[in-house]
Amino acid sequence: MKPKRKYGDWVLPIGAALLLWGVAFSMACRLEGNRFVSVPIEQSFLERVLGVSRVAFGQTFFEQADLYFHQGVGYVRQQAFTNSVFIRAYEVIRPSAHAHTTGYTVSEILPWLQFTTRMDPKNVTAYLTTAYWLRSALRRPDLAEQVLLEAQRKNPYDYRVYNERARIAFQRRDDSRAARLLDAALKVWPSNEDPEDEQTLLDLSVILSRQAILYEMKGERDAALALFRKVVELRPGNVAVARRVEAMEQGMDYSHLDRKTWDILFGGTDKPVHVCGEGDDHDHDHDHDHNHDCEHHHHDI
Amino acid sequence: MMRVLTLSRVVWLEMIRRKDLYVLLILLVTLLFVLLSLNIFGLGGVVRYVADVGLLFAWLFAIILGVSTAGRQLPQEEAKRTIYPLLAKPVTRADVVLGKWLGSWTITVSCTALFYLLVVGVVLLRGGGIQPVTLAQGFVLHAVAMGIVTALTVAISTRMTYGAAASVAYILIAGAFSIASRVPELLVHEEGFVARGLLALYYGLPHLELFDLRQRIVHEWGAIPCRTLLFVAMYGVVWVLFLLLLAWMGYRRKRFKRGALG
Repeated sequence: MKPKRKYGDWVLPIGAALLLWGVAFSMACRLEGNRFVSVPIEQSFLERVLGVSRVAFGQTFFEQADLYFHQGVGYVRQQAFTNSVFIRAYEVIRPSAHAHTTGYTVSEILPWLQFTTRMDPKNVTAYLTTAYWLRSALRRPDLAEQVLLEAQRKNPYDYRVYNERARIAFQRRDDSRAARLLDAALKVWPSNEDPEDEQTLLDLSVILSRQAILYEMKGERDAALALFRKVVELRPGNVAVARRVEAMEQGMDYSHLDRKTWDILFGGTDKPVHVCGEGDDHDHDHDHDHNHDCEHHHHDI
Repeated sequence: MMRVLTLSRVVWLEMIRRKDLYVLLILLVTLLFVLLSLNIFGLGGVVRYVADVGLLFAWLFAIILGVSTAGRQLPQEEAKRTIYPLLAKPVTRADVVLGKWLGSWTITVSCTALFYLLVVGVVLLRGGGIQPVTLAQGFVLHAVAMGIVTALTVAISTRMTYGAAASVAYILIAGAFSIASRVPELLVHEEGFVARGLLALYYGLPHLELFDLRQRIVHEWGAIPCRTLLFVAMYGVVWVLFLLLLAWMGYRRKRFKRGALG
């Protein structure tokens, strides 16, 4: 027969458990402090649940978009040996001809870009890439504008978004809006980017060049010339702009060609998406080295 | 052979009773409907991502089903002590191992076929298309890969509890997918002991990446040559036979302790 337990037998362990829980609770409160006060109100549910890991997810989705752009062909990476029977078999199995998606099939990459921006709203490059394809290959500048407006809401101080919106405004012949957006871009430049970085400086020269062209179109030659000079200062190697400054100083008038110039330099006219030749290494760089300040760096993924 | 078939039929009956398959099917259907309901900028005809994610989950769910079915069989017989009456019948231990594996494999392949049908149905419904020959090749190789997965899990479960066997199997499968295939790249930066270890993994683990034709199916790259298909399938069969031999060796002289496993 089991001995009957006294009521008092439970008091000590329950008391000790409560005490320990109280200590743990107060320590947790102290460790946490009042962090909840500093949580930005605009954080989405995904941001709160996934924390920083959403950036990694976003990057994975962005890489997936890149894979789709190359029709499932992965990057060629350096290998310590290539004569293995498994490698030879895998070479046959995996997609290996080198092509890029063109035209409407480009829309297949959009879900992954959308997933990227949902996961990581700070990934401005993903927004710009989405806007680029919507505007160029799919001929939907209205959707591109929507994407950029969302990018601006999430990243209000990023000059790249204003700069891209200016391009769309110009494409729609809304020059005054384009000018306002370029002013805004210039105000927030370099945003979170390194001001000494080559790409950031290139972007600045693009903003200034666009402003210059808009001034020239309005007939304000002096303002345009001043801006073009700034571009030459920023990028002394830019022969095209240097020649233009020289010509303008000699009294040449380019204003009738400005819209065409903008299109040529900044991609207003859509270029066909190229298809690599058979046997090309996919591991190529899409940032073509142009003489002028062309900017499709963001757009090829 | 009849004894093996009878044993595998028992595995089927148990599977029908259990809810694993239904749960996985419901999960896949839910996922596909979520993907379908996404509004991609109001553009129609965007369907590749549905096929891609659907097939990815078909692989994942097939692996989960294969490991959970195959890993449970032998430890469960021992935990429930039904192994004693089973072995008292005119059944060899080789029959038990083979029957359990065959049942687990055929269940996994049948469920994989269901998953594929579901994904293909949704893709067609959405207005997309899938090359049938490539899809058939992908399914055949997927089925062979599931043969390896189930044989591996049965082999491990001969000496471990269900939980431990499933965990080890998942680790080995993840390693085979994520490390073994990347060893030639990783070796570029490694040398000495680490390099030798990586090489051991490269040749020691099954190359499951060879059985995965998802990229070819999704991006419509067409069928692979028959010779390659046969080579990869034969490679898979060799692995299955090797793992079943290991399973039999691990089981043939095993002493059962009452209540030791479960």
